[in-house]
Amino acid sequence: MDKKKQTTEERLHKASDGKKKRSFWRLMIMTMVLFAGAVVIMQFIEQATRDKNGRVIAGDDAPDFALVDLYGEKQHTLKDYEGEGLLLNFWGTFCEPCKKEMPLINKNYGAMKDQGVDFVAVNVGETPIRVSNFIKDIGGTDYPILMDTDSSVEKAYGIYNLPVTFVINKDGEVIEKYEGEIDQAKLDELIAKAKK
Amino acid sequence: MMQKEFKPIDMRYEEAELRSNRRSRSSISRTIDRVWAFFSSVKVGLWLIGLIILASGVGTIFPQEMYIPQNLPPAEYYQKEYGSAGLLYYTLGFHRLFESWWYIGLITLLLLSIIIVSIDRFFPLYRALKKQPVIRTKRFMDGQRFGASASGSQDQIDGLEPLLKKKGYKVKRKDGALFAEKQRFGRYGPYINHIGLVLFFGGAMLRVVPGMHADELIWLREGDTLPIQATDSQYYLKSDAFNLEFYDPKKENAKFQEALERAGSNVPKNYETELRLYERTGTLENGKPKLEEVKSGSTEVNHPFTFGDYQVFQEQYASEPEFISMSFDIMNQKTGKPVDSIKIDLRDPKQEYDLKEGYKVELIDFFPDFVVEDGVPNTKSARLINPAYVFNITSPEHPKGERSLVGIRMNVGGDDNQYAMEFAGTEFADISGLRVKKDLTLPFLYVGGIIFMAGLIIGMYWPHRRLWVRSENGQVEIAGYTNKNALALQKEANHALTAVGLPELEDRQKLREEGETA
Repeated sequence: MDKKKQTTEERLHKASDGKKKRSFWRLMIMTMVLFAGAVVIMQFIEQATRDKNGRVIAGDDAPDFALVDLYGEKQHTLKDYEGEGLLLNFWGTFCEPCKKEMPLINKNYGAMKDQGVDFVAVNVGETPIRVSNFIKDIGGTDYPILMDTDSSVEKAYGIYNLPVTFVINKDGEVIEKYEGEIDQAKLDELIAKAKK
Repeated sequence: MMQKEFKPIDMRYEEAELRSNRRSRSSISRTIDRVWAFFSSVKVGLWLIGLIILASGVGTIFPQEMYIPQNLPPAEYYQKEYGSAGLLYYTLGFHRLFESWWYIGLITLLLLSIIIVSIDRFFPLYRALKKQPVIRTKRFMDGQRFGASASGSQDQIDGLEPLLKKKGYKVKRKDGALFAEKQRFGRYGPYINHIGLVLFFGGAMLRVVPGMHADELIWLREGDTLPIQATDSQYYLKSDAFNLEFYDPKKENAKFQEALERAGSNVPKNYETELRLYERTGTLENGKPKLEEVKSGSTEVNHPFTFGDYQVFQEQYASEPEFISMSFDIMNQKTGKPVDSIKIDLRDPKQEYDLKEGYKVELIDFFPDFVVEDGVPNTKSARLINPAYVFNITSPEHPKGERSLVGIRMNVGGDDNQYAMEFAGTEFADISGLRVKKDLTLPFLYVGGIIFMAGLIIGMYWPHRRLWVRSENGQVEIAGYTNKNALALQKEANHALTAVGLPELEDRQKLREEGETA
C-alpha cells in the first residue's frame, strides 16, 4: 500500500516535471523565432539609416585616406588630423562654385587653424598640370590640395556632386555632409560644428 | 441488408490528442500554453498567409524604392509620377514595404505558426502511427469510411496475408486478426513540406546578416585597378581588356538579317572583360595598397568570373570609350616634314617632352573634357572624353617657344607658327560595367525549396493505406482506410478480398449520402 502510493506520487511528480519541460521548450521555440524576426527588423531599420548607395553620410565613421599633396611634398592621412576638427572638401577645376569658395576658405584658413579646425581639399582625379594651373589662377592656397589620382577616396566617400564638404570631429566621425558652395556664414557654422 | 448508422471518426490525426490541448497548472505555464495554442491553430496560420498575400499585393501597386530612378528624391518621384496616391503610398512607407517592420513581423509570426502547428501535430501523429494495435475496437472499425462484414472463416483471413504482401503491404497478425499497412510516410508529407518552408523563409531572412549578401556595380576602365567595396577593399579588380563584338548582318543567318538591319549596325553579339584579381596584402610606403595577383580570367554575359563566394558578372558597358593616350607629330610647317613625335599618356601626362637636340615640347595645360567658357578654355569634367592641350614648342628657330591650343579637329594659334602639333593617333579604353555578387543564402533557398517540393510530392503521390480484418464468432469484420484516392484502395483490397471469398469494401459515406437523398 505504502509502496503503491509512492509510485503514484512519483508518477505525478514526473508528469509535472514533463509539463515544466514542455513549457520551457515552448517558450524557447517562440522566443527564438521571434528573436530572429526582431534581428531582421533591426537590421533593416539600421540599413535604412545608412545610405543605400554606400555614400558616406552624417553619423558614419569617416573612411581613411592616404593622399599626397599637389606638390608631392607630403602624404596626408586621416590619422594626421585625429584629435582636431577637420573639414574635408572635395572639388574639381571644372566646378564653378568650387572656384568661388576656395579664395574665401583660404582667407579664413589661419583663423580656422587657431580654433583647432583644419581644412583639406581633395581634387577628384584630375591631372597635376590642370590642377596646378587652376591653383595658380586663383592665387594659391595655404591649405593642402590632395591629389586623389585613382579616385579611390572619391569612391570611398561616394561623391556625386561638387563641391561637398564633410565635417569630421576629433573622433573621426562625420557630423555633417554639406553639398554646395560655402559662404562665410556657412563656413563659420561648419567650423563651429567641427570644433565640438 | 440493413445499414447501421455510420458515425465517421476523424482520422486526420489518428484521434491523437494535439499537444496544444494539454493544459499546464502554473500561471506562467498557462500563459505560454495559451500563446502556443493560439499559434497552433491552422485558422490563425491561414489568416497570416492571407494578410501576407494582401500586403505583398499592396507592395506591387507602385514600384518599390529600389526600382525607381535615382535622380529624384523618392518623395518627389512618387508624387510626380503617381499623383496624390503616390504620395500617400510613400507617406505610408509602402515604398519600402518588404523591409518594413510589420511585414517582416507577419512573416515571423507565420514562421512561428508553421513551426508550432507542425510540432503540435507531427509528434502525436507519429506516436499514434508507431504504436498501432493490430486489433482495433468495434467503434473504430465501424467508424472507418470503408468496411464490410460477413460470415467467414479464419482461413480466409490467413489467405489475405500473402495476397496483401504481394501488393506491398506490411502485414501484422495478432490472435488471428490482421492489420495491413503501406506508405505510412505519406502522412508526413505536410510536415516535411513545412521544414522546407521554414528553411526557405529562414534563408531569406539571413540575407540581412552582414557578409551573407553583396551586390555592387563597378565601372572599370581598361587598364585600371579598382577596389571591390563589397570585400571591404580586400580584393581589387583590374581590367586587362574589354572586347566588344557586333553582329554583322551580312554574315548572319538570312532569317535574322532583316531584323538586324532594322536594328542598325550596333547589335552587340558578345562582350567580355579580361580580368585580373588582386588581393591586398599590406600598404606600401606611399600609402597605396600592396597588391598580389590571385587569379586571372574573363567574364562575359552569363559566364561570370568567380573567386571565393563572389561572382563578377559582365553587366553593361559605357557607350563612349575614354581616351587613354594620344600621339602627335611635330611638324615643320615650312618644309612640311615632321621633326619628331611624342605620345602623351592622358591619365598621367608629363609636363615636358624632350625631343631631338634643340627641340622640346611643354604641356602648359590640359583639358580632358574641353569646353570654352566665357572665352576661356576649360574642362567640363575629369573624364577623358574630349581632350585638348596647350602646347609650347621650343625649337632652335624659336628658343622661347611657340604656343598653340590643340584639340580634336582644332588647332588655335598655330597657323602662324613654324612648328605645329599634328594629330597622329590615339588609344581608347573601354569602360566595362561589372556586377559583383555574393549570396550565401542561396543554398538555404535551394535546399528549402527541394525539401518543400519533396514534402508536397510525398503527401500527394504516396497515399497511406490500411486494412484491418478480424473475426468474432464466425463473423468477419473488415475496415479500410486511405487518406487519398479511395478507388485505388478499394481496387487493391477488393482484389485480395474476393480472391479469398470475402465481401468487397463498401464506401459507407457514399451509402449514407445515397440514403439521405433517397
